[in-house]
Amino acid sequence: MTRMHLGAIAVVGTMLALMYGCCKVKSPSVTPSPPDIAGTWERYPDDWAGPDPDNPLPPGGAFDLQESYAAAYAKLQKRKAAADAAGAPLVNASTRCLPEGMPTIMEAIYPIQIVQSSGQVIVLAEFLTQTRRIWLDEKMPASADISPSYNGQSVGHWEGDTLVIQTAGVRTDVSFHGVPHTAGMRISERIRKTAPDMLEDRVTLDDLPVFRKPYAFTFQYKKSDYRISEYICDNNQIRVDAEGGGHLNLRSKDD
Amino acid sequence: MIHRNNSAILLLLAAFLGSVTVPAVAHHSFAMFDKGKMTTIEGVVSRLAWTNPHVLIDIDVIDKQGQTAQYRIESASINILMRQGWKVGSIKPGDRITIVFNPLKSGLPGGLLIEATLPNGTVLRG
Repeated sequence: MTRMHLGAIAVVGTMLALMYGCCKVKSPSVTPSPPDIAGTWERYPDDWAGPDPDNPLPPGGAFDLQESYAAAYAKLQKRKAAADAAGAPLVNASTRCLPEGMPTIMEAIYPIQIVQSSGQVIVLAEFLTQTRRIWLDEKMPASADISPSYNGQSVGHWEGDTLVIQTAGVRTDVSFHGVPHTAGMRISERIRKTAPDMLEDRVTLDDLPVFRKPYAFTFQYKKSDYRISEYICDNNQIRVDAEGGGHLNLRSKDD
Repeated sequence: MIHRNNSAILLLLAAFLGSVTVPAVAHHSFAMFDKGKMTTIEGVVSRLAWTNPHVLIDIDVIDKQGQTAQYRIESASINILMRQGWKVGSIKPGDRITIVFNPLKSGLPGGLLIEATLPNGTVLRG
């Protein structure tokens, strides 16, 4: 190879290197797609509520409550049993067609649909046509800036395959299996797929004035091809007595 | 004969649809009803409320003395009934139907639907 050949190769090489450098199109920064948890989900297994659907079992086992709350809870259970025996079961928020609130909405007594949108994950519950929004990659607002609501303020972010959510600001008249909470309750959730057609939500309720230690449980869901329908609750079917017991509205002469 | 065959198919269909998994936990406790008792009545539907949280069936039943008793039967939600194979017009005012239900503990004329048998033999689960 002559010196001229070597020179030509060097020149061409330099030109190619320059061309590559000047014309290389910078690939756009690609944000990895979040895991796909969208779709309609139903609670799993079917008998999740336990042997008596009228009295679903607390999902994390017996509540370990601070003394005053434990006393109130025991009293409520006694009242509830007496009302049930008398055929006038105590009405709750759902009986009055009010939203379930957090975390009960995630208990999904009817199917739920998860929608993944830009900046938010939305939970649509068939029961009572409820909507819950989880805002992604945002900071939890200061308590003073949160208007108390049934589902509270939820912010979340992805940690690998897991959607990590914090919730605050759940209205204090929302209860969970008959247990109330304070305005300071924080709910943590970790939602992830455990199989292509299975989803879990690991929930922790942190409210030390009420629970002696954080109360944790897991809701499991199975993918469903069911199409969710409207469910608007006409609050016209139950009559509530002075003791809070519910009765079927019977026919009147005007019917 | 054709009618009977159709009825048999409908019964089978209703039995199959009745096995569809539907929510067991309701918007209220059903403790107002006596689940240990089953009562059967036959009568004419006077009104059907296709509403949530429950579909309500009002039915007039004439007793042996010729007196008309007006029953109100609570069923599941529209959403659950549709999943179980009900249609909007499955039960209509004027239909003569047979109802099996858990009666109210109070003894008043009402209860929780277990199943309704339509004039064509179709059985719909509550």
